[in-house]
Amino acid sequence: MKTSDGLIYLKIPSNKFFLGLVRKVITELAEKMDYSQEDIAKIELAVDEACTNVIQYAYTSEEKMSFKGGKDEAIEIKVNINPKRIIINISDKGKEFDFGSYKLPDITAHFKEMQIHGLGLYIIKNFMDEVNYERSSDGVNTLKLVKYIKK
Amino acid sequence: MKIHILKEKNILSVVFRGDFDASGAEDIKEELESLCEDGRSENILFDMSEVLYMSSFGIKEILICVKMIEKHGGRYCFWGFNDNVRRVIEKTGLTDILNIADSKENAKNKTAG
Repeated sequence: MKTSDGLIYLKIPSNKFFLGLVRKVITELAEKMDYSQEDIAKIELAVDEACTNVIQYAYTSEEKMSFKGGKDEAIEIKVNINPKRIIINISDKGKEFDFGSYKLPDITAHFKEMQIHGLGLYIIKNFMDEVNYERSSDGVNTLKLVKYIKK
Repeated sequence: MKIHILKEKNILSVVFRGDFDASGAEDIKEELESLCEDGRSENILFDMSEVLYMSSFGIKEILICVKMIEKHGGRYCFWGFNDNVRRVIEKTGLTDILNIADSKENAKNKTAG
């Protein structure tokens, strides 16, 4: 079946418990498009890492396993698809992320020192074609991930 | 996520089952780390063949365990990574750091000194 244009909207509480659900939605969608199995796995992982970063760092919740998820503890995932690419916007109202100063780490050196912060973002940048971060004036962080379908 | 522990002679096999994401890592963290921290633990084989998915949280947990084992001079080997998981560990440089074998037999040979 041909991929049609579409917008899919998902809102989850900021909780690790829901990561599996997000991955299922994203992979189901990517499988309907013309992505290779490898690219589907990359998109799945990038979205997981982005949501995990929000849960761990943007919202440093003390009640990790609670199902609070109030209006200030939500992650919004907007997926826009067309036959050429997938765009995934992941938004939260947590702490600002210093994306601009971020550099890809020397992973091997980091492992030896056990400083493994930034691994998630390293994976996201390696696995997606475009990655952009924006913080709006009203305090909404949005990470935009784009992956094109290879011809 | 769960881990299952099998004893075979002087080798301890730790079988991982489930998705090794932030949630899965939290499920097994305590049990796994107490096992790896225990200096009396024999050679450990980590069976990854039933892990279909792994994120950076799985990687971090693995590194914590490996550090613990190395600290008391223990031996370990991972085997059974599927294609998706292998790609992640290759991309993040983990294949250069971990002791990995392509089969259970080879993993056993690597841990038997």
